[in-house]
Amino acid sequence: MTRHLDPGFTEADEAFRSELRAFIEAELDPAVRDAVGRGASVTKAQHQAWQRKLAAKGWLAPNWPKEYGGAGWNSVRRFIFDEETALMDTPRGNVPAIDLVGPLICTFGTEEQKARLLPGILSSEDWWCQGFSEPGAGSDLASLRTRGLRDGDDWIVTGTKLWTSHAQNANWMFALVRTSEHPKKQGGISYLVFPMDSPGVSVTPIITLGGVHAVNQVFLDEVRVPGANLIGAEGDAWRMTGYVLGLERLVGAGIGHSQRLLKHLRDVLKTGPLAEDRAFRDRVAALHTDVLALKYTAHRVLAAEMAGEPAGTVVSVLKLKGAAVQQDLAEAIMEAAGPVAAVSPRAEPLDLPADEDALLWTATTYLDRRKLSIYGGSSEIQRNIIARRILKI
Amino acid sequence: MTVAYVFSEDQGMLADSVARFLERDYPPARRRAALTAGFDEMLWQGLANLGLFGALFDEDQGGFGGPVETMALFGPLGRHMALAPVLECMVTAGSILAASTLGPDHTEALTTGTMRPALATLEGQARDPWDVTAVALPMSGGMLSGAKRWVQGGDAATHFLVTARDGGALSLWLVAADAPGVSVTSSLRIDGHGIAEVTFDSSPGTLVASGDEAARLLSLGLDRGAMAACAQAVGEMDALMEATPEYLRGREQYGVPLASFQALQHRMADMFVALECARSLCWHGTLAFERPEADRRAAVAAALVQVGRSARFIGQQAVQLHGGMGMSEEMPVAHHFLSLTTFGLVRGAEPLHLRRFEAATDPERT
Repeated sequence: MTRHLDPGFTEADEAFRSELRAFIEAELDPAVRDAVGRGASVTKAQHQAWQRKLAAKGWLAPNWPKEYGGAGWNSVRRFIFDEETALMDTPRGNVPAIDLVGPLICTFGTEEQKARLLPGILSSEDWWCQGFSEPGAGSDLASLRTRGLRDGDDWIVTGTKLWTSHAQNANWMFALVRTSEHPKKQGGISYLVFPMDSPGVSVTPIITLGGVHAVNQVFLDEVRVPGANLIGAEGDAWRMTGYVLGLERLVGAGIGHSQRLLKHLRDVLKTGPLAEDRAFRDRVAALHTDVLALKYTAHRVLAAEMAGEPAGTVVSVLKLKGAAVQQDLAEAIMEAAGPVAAVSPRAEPLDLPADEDALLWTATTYLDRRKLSIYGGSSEIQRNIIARRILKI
Repeated sequence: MTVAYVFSEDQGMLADSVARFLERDYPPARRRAALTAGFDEMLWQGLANLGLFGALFDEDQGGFGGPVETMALFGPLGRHMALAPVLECMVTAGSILAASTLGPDHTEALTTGTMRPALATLEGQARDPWDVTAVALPMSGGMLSGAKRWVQGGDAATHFLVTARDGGALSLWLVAADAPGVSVTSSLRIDGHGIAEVTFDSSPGTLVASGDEAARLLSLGLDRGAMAACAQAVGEMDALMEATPEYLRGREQYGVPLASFQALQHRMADMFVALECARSLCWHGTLAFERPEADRRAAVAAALVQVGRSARFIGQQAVQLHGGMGMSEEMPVAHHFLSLTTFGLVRGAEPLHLRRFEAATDPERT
């Protein structure tokens, strides 16, 4: 069956999509793909192996300029990449390095920093974690209190970072650090980067719902950071962060992830007893229309971007709606799975038939997706942002 | 990527010209006067004189537009709540007639507004326009007998496009409103638009199409009408999304503007999300007329689900945020609420659209 092009997408875009799908099909370890598809955990080594395949193809860093080893794609290619990699259950890799600190260094770093720090990301030897949130600074991130004091050319950093993904596996951190007093709390914050084996860095795991170890608390006790590891101008980190997150605004919508969850929901339904249940089928159809609303809102933003027009406030819809749609889908999948979803995938295994065994992780996925409306600017923050723009207050 | 999801300069000019006309010649007071009077002949003539009706029809049907131009025009028609049966007569019934083999005979009368056909298909307790039992007798010229209900725009119709069955096959007939045996009982909807119950008693009609061709045309007309209705509803919601923040900024309670309360701010944000989702699927459905029919049916059904939900939520919340003022007939917000409420009633309830969507969707694709 020929695929009918969506408005705005060209045959060349679709050829890229096909090439990407073929690449994933051929190169991604089926066991890893299966684990990602079920919502099971993936090891750092598995993430690295996949990153190396992407790097060899030149596709590891979608948001980096070509001259620094990035893919050099336009917004449409990046969108397709995010969509298809999610649909095909690829591991996400070291997101803080690829999507955040990499673009930060490419845009604001010195030539020396680019030469020193970027190759380790592209080779997957370096694994980065992102020091943003703190015990007293979550949604109100600008209230962060981790402090950097000048000592000659160095900075002495002290504070606590919270909810730090990848910290248990990372050998580098990039952190938001208050380096000077400023009348506005968004001012005086800088980006400092340092190795995780620096004296004074210690990592404590935080176990989240379902027994998952993905996030950590990181204590920084008089960590010495050389002046050469300040990225961008001193006190300019808030603006730099806004710029880098702007590159990510379409990714936040999770279009591919929503489509993947919808497909999973249909698969679960196919074998389960709810397949003929009218009310549940209406719910699935309604969720599907939600996914389409999200997808075509993203296409509108893409079209505006490609035309060089400002997309406006509609961008803010993507994160808010995207989180809600994924959460609703994960919930429906878990409910469609039924009692097997209540069984812990980490406990003594039951002797389950294969189709039920595949549903063991559905509750873990549901629980995990609650984070989507909490992190990266909670849904309440997103509503504040939208309201401020439309109410002009 | 080519440019999409924005109106071209020409399409924008179409929208501007209808908006300017309505702003100048259709003030709220005039609309209020027409609200209980039924068909507003002067407004209809005014719209026809602008020469815009041609934009509703494809070029090969004697027009100069199509679905996207229709979307562009229906935004301002919704925003200004024009009480004229453009949607029912020109888009739903008009697109059927224009796309039929009889089209060339009627294009001029349609585009100049002298002919106003209305689709007469619902019967008895039926909610589905495809549940048709009315009988067409294939005598010379064709004679129709049966009762049709909830004929939108039927009060102002010069003709009826009537669905019938001759044996098992669906057929479509064109019957003049003043033909023998046609009896029209007119009334008004809560939003001021006209509606009629129509009976045919051995009324002479002209066959428009039968069998598969009749089904193709009925499907096309219903989908074109549905998408115009979605565009109109988005226009109404746009108006509410401008009026409501303005009201919240201006009105003080407890010594501060209402806009300073976070509960109300977040409600506005949710209304905005609902509106933009509706707009996205309105575009998706409108652009789907270039796609295979199953794709189009799925896209239109998805739009009806989303726009219906958004219309209900935004209508209710706009009234809520205006407080008692939102219930007052003085306020445009109240009238938009009436229009948006009729959207779900006239286009069909959500379960109907969800099931059509499911039936038209390839489960392997999203």
